[in-house]
Amino acid sequence: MARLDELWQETGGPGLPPHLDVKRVKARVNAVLDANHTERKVYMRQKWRIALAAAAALALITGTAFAAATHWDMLTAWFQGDTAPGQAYVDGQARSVSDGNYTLTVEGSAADEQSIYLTLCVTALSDEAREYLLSEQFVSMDTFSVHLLPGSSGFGMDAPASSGPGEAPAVAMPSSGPGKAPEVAMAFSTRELASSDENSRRFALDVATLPASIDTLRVRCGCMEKGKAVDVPIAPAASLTVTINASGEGVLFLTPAETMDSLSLTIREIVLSPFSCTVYGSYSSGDVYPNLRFRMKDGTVLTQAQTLNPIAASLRRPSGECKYNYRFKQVQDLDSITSVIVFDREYPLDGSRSVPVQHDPALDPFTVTRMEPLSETGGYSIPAQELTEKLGGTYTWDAAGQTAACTYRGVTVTLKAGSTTALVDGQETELSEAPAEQGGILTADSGVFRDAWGIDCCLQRVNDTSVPEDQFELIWLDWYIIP
Amino acid sequence: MDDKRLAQKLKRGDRMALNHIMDRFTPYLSTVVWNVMGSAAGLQDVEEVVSDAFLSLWTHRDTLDPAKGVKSWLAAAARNKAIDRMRAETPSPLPLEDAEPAGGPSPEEELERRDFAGALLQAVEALPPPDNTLVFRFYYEEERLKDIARDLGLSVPAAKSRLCRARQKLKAVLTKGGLADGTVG
Repeated sequence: MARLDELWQETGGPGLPPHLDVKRVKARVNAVLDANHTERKVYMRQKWRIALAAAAALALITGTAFAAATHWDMLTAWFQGDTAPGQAYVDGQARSVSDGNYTLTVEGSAADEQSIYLTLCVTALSDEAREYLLSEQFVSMDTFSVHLLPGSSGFGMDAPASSGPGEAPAVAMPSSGPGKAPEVAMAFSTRELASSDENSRRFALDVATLPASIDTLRVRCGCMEKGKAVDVPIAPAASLTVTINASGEGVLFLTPAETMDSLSLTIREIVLSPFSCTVYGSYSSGDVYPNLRFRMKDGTVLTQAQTLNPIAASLRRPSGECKYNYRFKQVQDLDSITSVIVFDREYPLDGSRSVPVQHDPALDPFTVTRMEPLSETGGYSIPAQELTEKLGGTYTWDAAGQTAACTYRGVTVTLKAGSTTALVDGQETELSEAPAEQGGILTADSGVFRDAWGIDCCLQRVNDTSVPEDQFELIWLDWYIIP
Repeated sequence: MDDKRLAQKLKRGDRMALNHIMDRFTPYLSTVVWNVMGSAAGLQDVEEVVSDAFLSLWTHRDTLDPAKGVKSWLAAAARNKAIDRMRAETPSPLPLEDAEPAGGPSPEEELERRDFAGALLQAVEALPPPDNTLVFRFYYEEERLKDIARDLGLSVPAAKSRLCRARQKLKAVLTKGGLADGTVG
């Protein structure tokens, strides 16, 4: 508002110009959109996403690059727990370029055939540059750009022309037929990391790509002189393909089952790397997604929500072909996974014959009552007791202490009405909003359960047909839970 | 980033584009809404209408024509929603708690500010092209002068000169209209 203030003063306005608090408007809008599970997933992943021009059009870059070693475990920017299984695939060589005002350093990189992970540092070399670097203006959609070098045969991903609101951007497929140029468009997401240096800002950047030979990635910082860039050699981690060639029921996220003609999904193969899991197949409806489980070497079975993050990239072609890419929550030693379970069959990673497994109804999706938001700007809340008991967990209410203990999968979430501090197995965790009683029912933000128990929660919705067609409105339904 | 590019990104379902649009157009839309609902409309009402306009933009993004940008679409949506709100209910007048706390303006002063904001926007929009676009993009959208100048086919010094003349013209218009205090600038 600084410039408007200036105009206001110069044109004789009284006092200062009136204005809405932009943060409040954004919070209100984002809260409404984030009440939709998939919208939120996409938003988190889309931060600072940038679509790129065709690789063939890229100009050659000049600039001096230099290298140094870094020892920070870059994988912790994306993965929980022990990252040791992925360390063999980390390139810890720092590569930098400078233009006299800023230095851009790619501190490290790792990749599989689906994604590239980079940690970046931008350092200001003058007071003026530092002022801009530390300002809010520095962080924008054009802060960084990422390019495939001419000659790379990789393909990027972009928002699909056919995707609906909140759906993950799809992957642009290579044109079929020899000699045709690929449809190159790339996306990436960025998060800021802590920096101990007052002259620097650090970022974690991940680029989603198609499985193709990508030799080098070129990274630019928008505030730097044109032509300055860092080239990063890419060496993807080894992957393992599990052939499925089977059909069955998938799961839904936003759409209620009663509105669907079919929940059928066909999976052709699943590709696993230490960093991600990619499902290739075909769909009858774009609203149906795979529901995988993994049998670990110690015999335990982990669900998709326990093992994988929400979809990182997806592709749905009009022909029905589809691809869904998920990042593992923890870096995986593929030797620790013995099989993938899908459609009630178990597919060993060693390529041996699949075998049927007994259907476990306790892991079937179900719905839970949608409760009112906990604040004016918050999303809809979820009833703690109904959720816990439908999952098969135990729920205990202490009326004197106004405290609920919810236990599932051996993890106890303790909530206190009116308190933004919850306990997860005794460890304090801060909630964005305090649980509250609504009609004698304790309700809370669904995020605490999702994070503590590794379940998927989303609000289903239908279009409101009572309004004219040109006035698109949604009716929010109940919570849909995938254990 | 220009309006058209933002519209393109929005059309692809980019939530960061929506956030940029909210940053850029909230001050403008609040003035548009105040113009429709009257300067006595409560902050809460205006905030809801402006938020609804952004939500509507998001849900209708597939129908956007990137070549036309988002400004006019948003303004029309905000006006329509403000009118709908007024039809649906009597807007709550500016409550005392809407006014800034001690040290801030009184409700009367707040009304005066909103009146002036509406008049200023009208005066900006009434400037002859390309000055209306130049002033709007520079002061309301806080775009870089060199980007605006490039889009309008002006040199940066020429754009600066036009901005200076436009400010003087706005001051004269607003003073003539009895809104500027005539002591500043």
